[in-house]
Order: sequence, then C-alpha cells, then structure tokens
Amino acid sequence: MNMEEKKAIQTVKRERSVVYDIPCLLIRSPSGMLGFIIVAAAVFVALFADVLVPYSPDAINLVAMTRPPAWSNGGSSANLLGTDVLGRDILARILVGSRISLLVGVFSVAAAGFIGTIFGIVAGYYGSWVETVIMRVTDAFHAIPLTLFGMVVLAVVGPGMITMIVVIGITTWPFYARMIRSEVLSLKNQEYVKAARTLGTSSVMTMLRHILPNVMPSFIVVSTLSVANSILAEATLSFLGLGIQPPLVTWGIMLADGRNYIATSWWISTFPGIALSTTVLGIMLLGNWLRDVLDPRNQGLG
Amino acid sequence: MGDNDFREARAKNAEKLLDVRNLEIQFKTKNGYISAVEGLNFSVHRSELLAMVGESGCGKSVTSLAVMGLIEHPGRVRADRMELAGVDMTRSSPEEIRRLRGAQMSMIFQDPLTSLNPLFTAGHQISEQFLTHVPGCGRGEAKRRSIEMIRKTGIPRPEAVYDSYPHELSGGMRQRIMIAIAMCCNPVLLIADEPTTALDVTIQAQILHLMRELVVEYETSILFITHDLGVVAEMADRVVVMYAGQIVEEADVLTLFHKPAHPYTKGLLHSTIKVQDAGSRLEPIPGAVPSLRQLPSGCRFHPRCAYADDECRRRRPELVEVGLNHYSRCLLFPRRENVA
Repeated sequence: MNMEEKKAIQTVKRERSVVYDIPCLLIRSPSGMLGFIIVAAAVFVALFADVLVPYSPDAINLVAMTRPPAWSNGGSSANLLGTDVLGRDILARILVGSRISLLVGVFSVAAAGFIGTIFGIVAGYYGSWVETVIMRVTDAFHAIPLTLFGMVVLAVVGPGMITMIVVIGITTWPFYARMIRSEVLSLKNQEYVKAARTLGTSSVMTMLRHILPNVMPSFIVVSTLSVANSILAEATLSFLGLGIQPPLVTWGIMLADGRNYIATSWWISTFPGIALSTTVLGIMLLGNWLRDVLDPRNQGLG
Repeated sequence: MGDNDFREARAKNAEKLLDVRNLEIQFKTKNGYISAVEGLNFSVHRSELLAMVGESGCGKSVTSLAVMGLIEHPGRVRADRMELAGVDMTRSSPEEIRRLRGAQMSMIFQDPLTSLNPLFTAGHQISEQFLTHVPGCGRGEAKRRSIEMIRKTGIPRPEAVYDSYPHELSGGMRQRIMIAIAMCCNPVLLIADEPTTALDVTIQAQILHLMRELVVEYETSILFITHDLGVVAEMADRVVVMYAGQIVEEADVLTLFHKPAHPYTKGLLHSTIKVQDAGSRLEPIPGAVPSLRQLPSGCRFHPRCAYADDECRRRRPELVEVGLNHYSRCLLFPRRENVA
C-alpha cells in the first residue's frame, strides 16, 4: 500500500465513525479476518443447524454403527465425518451441538465478566475497607471448585442450560474481579484519572469514562480465552452426566461419548474436538484484533 | 523602590481568595501517623500568582491535593480553615467540594503525556467539562466552546486538534489542551503542579506566557508549584518556600531574591546557575530532605545549614515577620540581620 492510499484511509477514518472502518480494518489484518470468518461460520452454523443437517442428530442407525469418515476405508459419502456407536451422524451432531456449546461459552463468560468487572472496578477504585470486603468475598468464591459446586447445584436444582451458565458464572467471576482490580490499581494512579478528579468528575463518571474503557483491552483478551474454558467446563459437567442431558447434544457430550472408543473409532471424539478448538481459536483471534482496533493508539498500525 | 512599594501596597490590600490556616496532612504508616505537612498557613490573593517552592518531598504536591480535597486513604487532612472565595471547604461535604473542582478550582499536572485519557479525543475531553459543569449545555454548544478554548490556548487549526487523540499531539500541545480543560469553567483558582518540568525550554516559555495571559484575561489566581527558581522569578508575585512539611520563608518575589532571610532559601538561590557568575562554583546544599519519620530536633534544616549553632539543634523556630509581609522560620535572623 503506498503512502497516498494510507493517507486516504486515515482521512476516511477521521471523517467516519469506527463502525464504518471495521471491514476496512479487517481486510488489513489477516489473523483478525480469519478469526472473524471462523466465528461468523460458527454463529451461522448454530443459527441454521436445522436447515444444514441432512439427518436428525438423534437418528439412530444401527446398520451404520461406528462408520469411519467418508474418505477412509469403509466410509460412506452418506456420513461425511462418520457415525458414532449408535450410528448417529457426527457432522449433524457437531452442527447442532455448536448451539449449546456457544451459548454456554459466551453467556457464562458474559455473566462472570459483568459481575467480576463491576466488583473489580469498585474494589480497585475505592480501596480501603470496600476493597477488603469485596476481595475477601472474591477469595471465598474463588475457593469453590467448579466441578464440585456444579455437581451439588445441578444435582439439587436439576440439570439445565441456564443453571449451567449460572454455575460457571458464579465460579469464574472472581478471576475477572481480581484481574480488573489489579488493572484499576495502576490505572487510578494515572495522571488522567487524577486530572479527571481535579476537574470535578464524579466517582461514578470517573469509573465509567476513564477506568472502564481502559480495562477493556485486557478484559477482551482474557474473556475470549475464557470462552474456551467455559465450553470445556460445560463439557466436563456434561461428561459427568450433570450438565446438558441427552438427547440434547453438545460438543462436550460428544467428546465424552467417544472417549471409550478413541483407540478404535478416533473420529467420534476427534471431530468435535477439532470443532471446539477451531471455534476457540477463532474467538481468540477476533478478541486480539478487537483489542487492537479499540485502542486508538494503534490506529494506522493495525 | 517604587515598584516595591506598589507590590507591598498591593499585597497588603489584596483580598484573600484562598486562605489556608493550620493545615495538617498525615499519612498512616505501620508506626502510626506521620505528618507530611503541619501548621501550614498561606493564602493566595485575587489575581495573584503564588509560587510554592521546595525540594522533592517537602510537601508541595500533597498541599495542592489537600486544597483540591483529593487526599485519600491512608492520608488524612485537618485544617482550622480552608477558604476558597468565601466558602470554607473544611465544612463542606465531599460532594460540595467535588462541585467546586473544575468549576471554581482546577489543576494542571507535571506530565502532559499522561494527563489526558488516551482513549478519547482532545475535543471530547474538553467538551466533557462544559457538559459536566455548565447546566443546559448541549453537545453542539460544548463543541463550539471547546474549539474556542483550544483557539485561546494558541493552537493553530483548533478544529483539527479537536478531533485528535492525545498520542497525536506533542507535549506542548497536550499541556495547552490540559490548560484549556482546566480553564473551561473560568475557575477562580488554578493549581499548577510543575506544569513545565516535562517540557522543552522553548515550549516552557510559551506555556508560561500562555498562563500569564490567562491570569490577566480571566483574573484567575494561580498556585504555582515548582522547584525552578528561574520560573519563579519570571512568573510569581509572591513566593512560599517549603522545607520538610513547613513553610520556612514567605515573601514577595523581589524581596525573596534580593534579601532572602532563611539559609535554605539562600541555598536554593546559590544552587541556581547565573550567567554573570560564570566561572564561579555552584554551592549546592549538602545532604537531602530529612525523612518525615525521623525529623531532626530543633530546626528541621539545621543538619544541612552552614550557620547552625547549638540553639538551632535544641529550639524549634517559629515563622516570624522579618519585614513587611516577609516571614522567615529561622532563629538566626533576629540576631544576624543578614545571615549570608
């Protein structure tokens, strides 16, 4: 790209709001583009799974048990990624399974991030006894093991997606609270935060305008990584039989299903695994790109 | 002498805009509270530029933060009176003081590189002042007035700067933006905490010039915190010299430079390079500011003072009037007219 084009782009950026820049900025960042494509594909698949799948994900076909993927020996073009021990189509199950995995992953991170950010900012900003109280409560929550807590709650309340999101949210928010608090501790000593206060900005406005936007970069990076952990937590609980119940299907359930057959029928858990890690990678790439774009200091570099 | 008379008369008749009596600022440590500043009395008159001078750690910056009501845990502030334009801030609620900040008093800082929020444009940050403090001010109005403020600080093409992010501006420009933000609501008091220390000399001169202009145009009083005596000579009407949390000398600027009455002030003056003395050695003050935890007995300056005697080690000096509106905290002064 020559200088004139660069200049032209910068001028355009000045004149338009950031929303118009997104396609332009995406094209200039291959990794951001890749992340965007993966996430868009995952969302698309989750939305239109019913239309896309050739079979019902629950349709048992005992004739076609543990059929390998289409390209290997004994495979059939009817089941592109093969079938599991009950003859259910792997591709169909991956496509439909993306729904709950994504929902649980995204919403539990959103819930945990929301609670954790509020507590983290308030604790870091006010300090003194407010901080002590919040951080001790945070420590208490941090001490709760996710799996154990999940088992108790899900056994008492009964399994379900909302319950699962709440369980993951409750056990992971302390992580955000701690991270955000430590960010705020350094931010609040920044001169522009002090300057804002000397100019009569109220505490709430200072937190909203000067602290929150400046903790967002770290929050975005950490939360995109956490989506992966949440999807895995969902898989863990579902694996234990306490999470999402069959006939609903998630990637976690599929991984669990294939565990006993990994030596003989590798495709049963491998493909959901690939779907999971690809999605997580996509979310992370997108998160990194978003962090760079949201920071005006990086403009003209991204 | 005529100029001196005029200054004296003015100082005598001047109305006190900021009046601080018996200010004490303490910080909690493991060994209980220690005082960063104690027994501080000073006042800033209307349309006056009062310079507060001293080495690092003498309490200049905490004093300014105390005036702004921004000393936080683990610090605490006590004062008999802290009056700004007739309002005693020791009797105001935190919310009332918050309303004063930005509107009646505002502050600019040493490092313009970090005093602006990197995520918002300069214009946005100026507009915010109008939106916060001017009732009924809309976005369009705020933008128009912000651009006007930028123009007043002498920045060419204010419209372009309005849409610039802080990282796109130079240090001098950012300090001008800070001044624009601070002056938005026409405050009666501007506290400038070493506003030119981080800038080039040429830019320093421009910023100082700008501040003088604003004092005249808006009749704003300035509390100017610095350790640069050259800047003091150029800018100040009156000077307060601080040492280890106390005022050691207070005088109008000419008296201070021509007839300093405290050995510390003399030391500061001797530590400054003067062109006419080229070839002679600088005489630095030996040692460093004492730790607030272990203050020396008697006069706090005696371990570094060339004139100190036994009495200085024993007796604590008071701030006494040694001339018209000229105060010094030195036991030697009454005995020796000119210590140097």
